[in-house]
Amino acid sequence: MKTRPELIVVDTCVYVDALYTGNARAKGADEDRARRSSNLLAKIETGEFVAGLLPIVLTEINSTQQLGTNIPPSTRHQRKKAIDAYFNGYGHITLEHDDRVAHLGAKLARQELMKGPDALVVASAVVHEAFALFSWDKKILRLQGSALVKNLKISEPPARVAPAQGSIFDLLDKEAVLKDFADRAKRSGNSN
Amino acid sequence: MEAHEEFLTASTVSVQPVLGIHLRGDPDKISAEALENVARSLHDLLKASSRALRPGDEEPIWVVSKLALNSITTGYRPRADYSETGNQLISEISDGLSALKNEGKAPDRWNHEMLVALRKVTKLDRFSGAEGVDIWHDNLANTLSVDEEFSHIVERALAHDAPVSRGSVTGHVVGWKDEEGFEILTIQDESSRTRVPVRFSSEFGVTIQQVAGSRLRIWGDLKRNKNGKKISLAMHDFEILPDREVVSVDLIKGLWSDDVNRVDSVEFQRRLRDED
Repeated sequence: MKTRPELIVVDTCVYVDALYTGNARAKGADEDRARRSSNLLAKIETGEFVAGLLPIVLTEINSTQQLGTNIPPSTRHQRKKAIDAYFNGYGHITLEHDDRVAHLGAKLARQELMKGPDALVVASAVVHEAFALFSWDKKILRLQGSALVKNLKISEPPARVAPAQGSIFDLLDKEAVLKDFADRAKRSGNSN
Repeated sequence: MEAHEEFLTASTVSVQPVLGIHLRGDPDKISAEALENVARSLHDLLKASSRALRPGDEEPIWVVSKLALNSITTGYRPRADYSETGNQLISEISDGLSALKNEGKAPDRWNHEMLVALRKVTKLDRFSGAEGVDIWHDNLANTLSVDEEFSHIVERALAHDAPVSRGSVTGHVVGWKDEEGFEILTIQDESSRTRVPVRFSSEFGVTIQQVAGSRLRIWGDLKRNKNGKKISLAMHDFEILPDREVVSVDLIKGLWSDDVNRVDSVEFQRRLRDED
């Protein structure tokens, strides 16, 4: 029986890695990160999971100099069009910012000392009951284990993506993800 | 022995209970989780009431006035320096509870947050070892037993009081009907992945029928239930959207690969989110 795809949320930096793939200035760890980001995103188009698209992520990607005035208008137009087509494509659904997101975002900002945009990203994922939030940003990753994020898993894009069907755990190498969560929780506990 | 008689003979750690909850059941069987939730839900109800009924006023600090292990009884009162406001609040909560019980509707000044807090109280008997819930004030002669009927009243009040926001649904039409003079279509909403009834006036009827097979975004006054689920939309207007296709990440992969000013992706994000 085909189950409904798990909902995940992908932070801006993961999309940015994909956009920078192949950039001449990317070396070593950057290349590995770009590869892991792209591998994660590649799973959206197969319908194996659904990516919750946050308005703030779309705003950040579209508001940058890469789409700005230092680029020829025709190139800028093409890039904008490609980005719009990608995010409007099947596999992305917009997660709305309602009052629940606002209230939890405020609570996260207050209790976890987060910046407003970071708090909104995490709050959206929690409120819309995403399975996981993927980011490279330590200011997001440190929230893993917080009582306010409930069951949401917050992780870097995994190193390996297993060619399996079914849940996101299968897709993302369950053992690796769980080990990552456990290690992070342990580190978090030690630092307190 | 009646619950209130049992209460009156119980040992307590303080006097002058003002608003309280009595969780019926054998103290040896009532779970610690139940006790925790009794304490929290009573406090939540008082705080919600303060925000709803005394907006702008400093919220009273509530202190434990009654704590007894005859089953579980808790009672909170305002700290002495907040007694005037606190006592008024207790009185208004009490009147509101009576109105709910007798008239089946919450006072106008009760807001959604208060009803949600009250709903939590009505659910306390679901915890292990709990057999029933009473809400009392001043003394147990003023006790309201939370029975099935009262729980239904609270649920109905919540449904009636569902908060309205300006919002939208996006997707395809999956149903259509007439109801009490209004036309209602059902949209399979892509965002919430649920079916949402959309009410619209006759002026849109013909137009909507013509585009009913298309992917639509409809916006207007959106009602959500207590869990935030979209339960209905009153349409203001709509637009037709192109059907979605599968788009590969390859479309954007490397789109910025020629950027000579490339920054680390996390730094990119932090520049946008951190203050200067």
